[in-house]
Amino acid sequence: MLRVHNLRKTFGSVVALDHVSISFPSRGCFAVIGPNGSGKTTLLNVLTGFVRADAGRCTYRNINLNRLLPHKIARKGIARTFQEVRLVRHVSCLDNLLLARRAELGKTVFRAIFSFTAENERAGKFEASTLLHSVGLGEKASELAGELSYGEQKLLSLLCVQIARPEVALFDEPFSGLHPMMIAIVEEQLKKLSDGGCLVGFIEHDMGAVSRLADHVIVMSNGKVLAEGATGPTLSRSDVLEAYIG
Amino acid sequence: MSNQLIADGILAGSIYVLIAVGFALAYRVSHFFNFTHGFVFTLGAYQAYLIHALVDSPLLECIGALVVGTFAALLISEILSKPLLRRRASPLVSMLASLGIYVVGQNLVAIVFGDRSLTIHGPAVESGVDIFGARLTIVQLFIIGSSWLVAFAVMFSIWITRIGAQIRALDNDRALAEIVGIPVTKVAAFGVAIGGALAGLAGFFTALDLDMAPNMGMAALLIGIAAAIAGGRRRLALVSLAALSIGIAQSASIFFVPAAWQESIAFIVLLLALTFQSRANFLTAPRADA
Amino acid sequence: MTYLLHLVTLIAIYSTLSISLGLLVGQAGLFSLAQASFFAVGAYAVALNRADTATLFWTTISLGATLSALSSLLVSLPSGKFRGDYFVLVTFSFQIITFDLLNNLSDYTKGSLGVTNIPPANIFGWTISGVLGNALISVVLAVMAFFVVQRLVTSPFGRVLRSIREDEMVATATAHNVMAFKICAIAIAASLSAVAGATYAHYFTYVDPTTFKISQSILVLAMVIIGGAESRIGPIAGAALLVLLPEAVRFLGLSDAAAGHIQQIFYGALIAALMILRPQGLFGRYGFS
Repeated sequence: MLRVHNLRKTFGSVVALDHVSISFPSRGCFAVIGPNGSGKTTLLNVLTGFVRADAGRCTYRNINLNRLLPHKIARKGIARTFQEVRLVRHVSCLDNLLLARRAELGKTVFRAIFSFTAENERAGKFEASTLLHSVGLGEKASELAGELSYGEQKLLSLLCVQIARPEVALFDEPFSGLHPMMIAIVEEQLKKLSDGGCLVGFIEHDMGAVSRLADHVIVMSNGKVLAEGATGPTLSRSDVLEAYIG
Repeated sequence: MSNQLIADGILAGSIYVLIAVGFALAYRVSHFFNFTHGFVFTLGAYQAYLIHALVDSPLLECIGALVVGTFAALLISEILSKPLLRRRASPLVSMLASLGIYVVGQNLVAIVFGDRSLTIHGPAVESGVDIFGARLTIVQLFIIGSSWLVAFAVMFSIWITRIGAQIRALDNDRALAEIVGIPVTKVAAFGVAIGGALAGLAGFFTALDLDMAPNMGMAALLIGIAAAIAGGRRRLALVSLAALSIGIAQSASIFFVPAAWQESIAFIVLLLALTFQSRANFLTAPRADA
Repeated sequence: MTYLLHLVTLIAIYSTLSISLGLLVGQAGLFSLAQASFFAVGAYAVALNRADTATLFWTTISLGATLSALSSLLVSLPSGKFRGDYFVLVTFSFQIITFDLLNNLSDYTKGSLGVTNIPPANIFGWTISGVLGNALISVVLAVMAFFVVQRLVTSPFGRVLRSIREDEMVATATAHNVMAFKICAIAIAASLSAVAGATYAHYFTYVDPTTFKISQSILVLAMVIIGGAESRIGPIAGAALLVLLPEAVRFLGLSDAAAGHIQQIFYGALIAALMILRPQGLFGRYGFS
């Protein structure tokens, strides 16, 4: 379903992606791991259209993603989070979620202005607050997103992906900086997503989370794919261990 | 006939180069588009009027332009930039604050000197020189020559001298420059001062060649903005080239469009520059966590 | 009484302008210095249209609003993908050029002489002349503008604009075409300003380029910034304050020109002070940092 073929991307003299070809699994959960600077975030950015590759192809269900603008790619059902938590901090958590709903009638300018009804707003607010309650953020619904703690903000950005009911959900370091209780909640949400049929992918350094969640792992190093395969065997390969430690 | 147009274009373009290089230099050290540059430009012209009223010395007027330009720019920077820097204001907020100060300044000039345009050169026709069929007065040749001389001197210094390197470092990454020990406040002040001197000189030259009015700064800002953006905001050589091109294009455009559209050239240049420049150069780096 | 109605008309016209700019600034974070240009398009559409149906209010207003929206593409298309300050620069330049063109294209616009004898508005057969009629019309239009903008603000459109204001990448990642939203918001603000311009032309029966200078744009921006951009009454409060102020100054006996300069010094200083000290203005919520 989701494929990249021979991707190349350089930033100045840095080769971020060096002939990367991957056939992502069609469901379940996969992780992209590798030392810092190995090209993981660039891969995610190219897939979601925020960075344009110098060469190579990205396809989703045989549709070429290369020339598409990022919002169009998002419309196809590919949702993502950012490494640095990106939210609209001056509006409420509820508004952030409403913004992210894909069923939300606000996607195109025309519908955003003309087809909004009180009923749809209510349905959206209900869905959003239910989601917030399910992770214990129910009381914070009307608080400004910027006033949440770091962990809560990360959780909120994850919920924004969830509410979009994506077909593919890509997370950039969803566990970084979180304390164990939060990690457990995030894991639970990712599992819910993937159980619901969505293809979940995440970039991570936390090997515990990777082994618990991911069925499939892709190891990158220096802009290349070093190894790929089922989590258990791949993680114990000597070259993978060396890339991380050696 | 067309040679005269080109010559006029080069004259205008040379003054534009002064405006644009000063504007771009100030941008490099403060990272926002400073509207007060237009006010300093206006002051450069009006100080000459004051001096001219007392003594007929173009030399004094010229020096006055440089001095007034430098000090005005530094003074405004004290009032404006310090508090803005303290609250780490965005380029947008800083630019709007500078616009407010520009408006105050322009109106103060209007109250003191009146709304109508003033001149500092006498009614006598000056002697001129014929170059390739175009006629330029001695004063105009002087303006062209000095403008380029000064512009080149500034660009060369940025390239060669130590403080030039410090300015480039500051432009590149202010935080890093501070860490490696560059006195960023002093370097920025230096950049602002030079930018102000250039603006003042350009204002004086404009008044020398044409006349002055309280709102002359607006036109100067338009040129400065268009040339700075077209030149990529940083490479002073490109900015100069853009400024010169605007000057020549404005003059030569009489062939193609009715005279009424001449001023629009700068705007068209701005639009074209933005249309063809990639967004990657403009967006700030991804935000850090709060 | 007539004087009072005159003030009401002025405040209503400027409120329409500042409400429209409030949509751009307060919701999308787009600071426009071109509102006076769009104001001019609406005014000159009325002034120059001398065909038989010329005084049919709704026709000329629609014409002005459409032309305004189309010309707004000249600012939204080139600057839409860049940071906020570039948008200001493009609108600044656009404004300066518009004034130049109004002055220089005298064959079409009568240049600095201005256009006189603009017929009064003709609405469904009634001719609206006189202070009371014009005051009513301008207030009605201002109220309409208010409700249009309010509807937009509370709709998903407003929500998307507020996300664009703060972080375009979030808006994009949630599947919104940021460029399209910006273009639309700018066009709407331009149209509303043109409506204000049409009212102005019918009321004063005379337009000339000096009403549509950059200082006018800065004035409207000042109204929005001072009143507070993201607030309902902010733009209106700002409009009232800055319209009443020069009237107050005039009582001090200063000449019109001097009063104009004092007014500009006042709001210029206020803009600078507010940007440095309190960017959200008197009633606003968002501080634009």
